[in-house]
Amino acid sequence: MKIYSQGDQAIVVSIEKEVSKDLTEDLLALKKYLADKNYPFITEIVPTESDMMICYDARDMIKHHHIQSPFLYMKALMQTVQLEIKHEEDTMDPIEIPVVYGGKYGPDLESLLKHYKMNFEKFVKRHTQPNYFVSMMGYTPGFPYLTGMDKHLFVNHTGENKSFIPAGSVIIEGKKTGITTTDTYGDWLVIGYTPVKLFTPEFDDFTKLKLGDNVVFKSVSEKEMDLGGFKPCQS
Amino acid sequence: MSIIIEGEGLFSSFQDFGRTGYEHDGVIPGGALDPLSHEIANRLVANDKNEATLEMTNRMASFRFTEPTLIALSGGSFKAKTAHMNVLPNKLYLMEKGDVLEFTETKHTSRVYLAVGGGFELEEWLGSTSTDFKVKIGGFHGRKLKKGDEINMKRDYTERHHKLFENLEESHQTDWGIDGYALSFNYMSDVFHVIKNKGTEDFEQKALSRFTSGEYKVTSKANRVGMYVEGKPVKAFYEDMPAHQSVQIGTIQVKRDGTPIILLNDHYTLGSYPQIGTIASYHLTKLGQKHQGTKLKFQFIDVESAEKNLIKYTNWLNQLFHGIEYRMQLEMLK
Repeated sequence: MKIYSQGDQAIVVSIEKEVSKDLTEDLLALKKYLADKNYPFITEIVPTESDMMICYDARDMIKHHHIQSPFLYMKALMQTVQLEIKHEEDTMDPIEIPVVYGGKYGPDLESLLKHYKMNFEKFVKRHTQPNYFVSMMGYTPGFPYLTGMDKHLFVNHTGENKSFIPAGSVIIEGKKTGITTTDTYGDWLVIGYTPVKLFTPEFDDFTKLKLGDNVVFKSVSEKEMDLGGFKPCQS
Repeated sequence: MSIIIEGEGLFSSFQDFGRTGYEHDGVIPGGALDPLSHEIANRLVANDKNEATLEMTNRMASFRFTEPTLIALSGGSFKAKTAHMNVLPNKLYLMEKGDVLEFTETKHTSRVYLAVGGGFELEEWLGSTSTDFKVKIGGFHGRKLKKGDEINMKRDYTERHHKLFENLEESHQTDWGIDGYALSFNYMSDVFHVIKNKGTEDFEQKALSRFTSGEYKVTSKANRVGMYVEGKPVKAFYEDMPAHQSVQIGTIQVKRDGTPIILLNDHYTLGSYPQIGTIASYHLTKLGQKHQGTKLKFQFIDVESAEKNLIKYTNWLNQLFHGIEYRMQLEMLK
């Protein structure tokens, strides 16, 4: 574990391991530990795939908690908690996300199939087979970066142009797959669409998926599902 | 009971101090890019500092008032007027029904904040009325303002507001305000302190020296998400994109071609470019006022020195706010 400053109001704790379910669980346990302790000056705990940023109100720490150097305090604090992390048993059932692959729902799939030298059925099989987990959340609220993709589907390019991408688009980026949660403009490679709403701002608990959740995709046809309100991608 | 937008300006939206505690879910922090000017405007109209103000950018909006309204404008130096009077920065005014306020000179400011006594009636999400353009929520219908928009006021008037309406009935302005000279201490300098972060390790010493030796110019590519600056390119020692990294307001990312981008309040919650460091928090209000063409110089500082500067900055803020409070109390005795 290495600790870095991220400005004068945050530290980054870096756990130097490969991205894995275990690592995400480490970070979640650390996040939970800190959240449970309820430190009044911690304002944000933001995990990435291998790091965690902890933001703090340095002015509050100095003024009201008689801490001379907030950075040194946080660093010392992190060095004491690392021993207390325990892994919890993973018993969660995966959350199933129905996806209509290709066509107007996944306009980039056709060119991707050529790139992969793969037919549609084979692709769908490879994309629906793995158990994914949410290794990172960001970009837009509730947007899950899913780790666990079949390595035959890895890419190192993006779409050629930025275009309109509707909420619910299933995308591929590098070694990951993800699902857009708001209408957006971007150069993601869009392979399909799900009507499942991952972000509902009106709800107190506004993200359907959480960091560490297990996810599987299920291929469905257009007819099997109510796709009312679908807005196609446009460039 | 509203203000009507006569001209929308370049980019006008409602902001407060932003949303805290939801970045792990992908919610951007948002909030006023110059939170000091935001707070000064609120304090001058006797509002709570958390009331939303209207943030305007480069080319400012103009508005019509439909009833007597207490207002204050803060942010850089500018000239504004109504048909009856000139309106200066950092001073309290009383607008009358039918008054139209417009700006005549805005070259020396990037962002001006308008506060109205009693606050605006806005949409709140996750404890903030800041406009989130990605989710299209908060503020006024989650979007920037356009001509013809009519924004209702809360008229949440306290005793102080009532007294101010009374005192300003004739003069329409106070005989006091904040001296621009006092504020220039905070905004004048072009030097920005940068604290090294995890990403700094991705740059060789030579690149870091290049970064601190040259001047960078704010380009036209600047919005609430980030600010591109032009100068000596700086590149990480690798060509590839790094794994996603944590970012803060003020984090300086570097594009593939070596162009630095300074992240601002509407930054994505995860960064996908190499990053060279993060600007100290006490220089962010100044950053929010650097307009296109301004020169910036970066200087590395260790985090413990930055913390000492933060304390000095905080003490200065407290003095400034105590000054406003003192004048406000005198006004209440009139």
